[in-house]
Amino acid sequence: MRTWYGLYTIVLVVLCSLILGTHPGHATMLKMSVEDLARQADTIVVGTVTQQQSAWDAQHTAIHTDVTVAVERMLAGTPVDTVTLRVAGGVVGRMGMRTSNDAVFRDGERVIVFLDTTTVPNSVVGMQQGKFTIEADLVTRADETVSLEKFIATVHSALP
Amino acid sequence: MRVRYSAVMRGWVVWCGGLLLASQVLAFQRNNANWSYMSNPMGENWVICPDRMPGEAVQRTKDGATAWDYARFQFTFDNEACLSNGVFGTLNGVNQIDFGFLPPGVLANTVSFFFTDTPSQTVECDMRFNSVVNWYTGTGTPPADQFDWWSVATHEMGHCLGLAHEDSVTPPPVMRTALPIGTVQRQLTADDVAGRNTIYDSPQAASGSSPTPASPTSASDDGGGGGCSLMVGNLTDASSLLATLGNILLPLVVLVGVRVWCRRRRR
Repeated sequence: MRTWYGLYTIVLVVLCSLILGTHPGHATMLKMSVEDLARQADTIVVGTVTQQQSAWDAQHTAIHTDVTVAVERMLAGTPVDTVTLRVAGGVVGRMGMRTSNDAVFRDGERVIVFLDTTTVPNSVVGMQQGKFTIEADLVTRADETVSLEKFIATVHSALP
Repeated sequence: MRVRYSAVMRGWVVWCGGLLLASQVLAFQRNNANWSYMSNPMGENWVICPDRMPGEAVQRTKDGATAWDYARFQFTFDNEACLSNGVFGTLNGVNQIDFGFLPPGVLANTVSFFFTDTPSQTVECDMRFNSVVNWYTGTGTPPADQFDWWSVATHEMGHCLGLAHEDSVTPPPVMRTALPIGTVQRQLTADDVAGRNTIYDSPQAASGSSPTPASPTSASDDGGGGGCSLMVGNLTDASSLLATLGNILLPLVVLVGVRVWCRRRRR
């Protein structure tokens, strides 16, 4: 009996690992680890989304949203109180635009954002991959969840 | 000690079995794009701009669209033309598919437009493939250092017709976020088919034509950015709800089944 349980365990663990544990890259994006993001970002902030402002571009053919984040902690970059970044998509008047890869923010959302401030305006490194949500001191992106302190330690270890 | 060991092992077996079974349940996610208000969804105005596209990319793009065709709609393409002045994501009444600059690390991107008073009625979808990616545009197996255009086209067309990324089911659907370089994912799985059918099997009131995009006059309304892969599926939709319930209930069913089986064996 004991042998059979052991056998079942091995077989099922292998199957679980094969089926549930393989996410090697992105179909529309190349998978970026936290370390990759940290190396490519010049500014990394922990903060809360305080304002979002959507607008048409100059040609009135595409919509973008400027997201303001009140900074509570700088993980990299020059210290600031607030930072504003731009993502494609949003709603203006009767028209809305959504994209498959850009990060989406919610008012009041607590986030960690990896930014490239050499672009004008600031942009999120790795598009939606460069934005993480914090809830109850747990950091979430897609199906990954780690503690905030562990996440910050990972970021710090990856910084040059 | 023997009893304790078997109890732990039984729990482990049940947990793993439950996860395995749960991963088989349909769990497609929707991004709210929807063309079913049209009498002929996907039947007009898809235009490929072939400028600088590699190899057989134009045909592979059409192949990717064809994968989704079924009784309720067929993707149809106009003659190749570049109608967006090289600008990606332009609201101009043309569903333009082109090849050009995208941020590093992105294979392709899709943009869709909708009216806020009818958010489930998509009026345009544009798609771009990244020009810095090493693409394979053939019909065989791509080399280990190239991404399969056909597979990515199928995936992006799924975004245009209303599906978001889905990674929790097995086998991995076309709409999964993961596609290793050098591999293909061109065939729809049951999860992809269920997602498509959920959107289009029960058409909205057909208007017979697409609404004309309005000229925006305000540029100051508040609103969040879009991003279909992060949007929550429509919980009022019966299939999505059943799939979610299935994910929750299957491990419990397995747990009860194993318990009943163990009790019978004891007798």
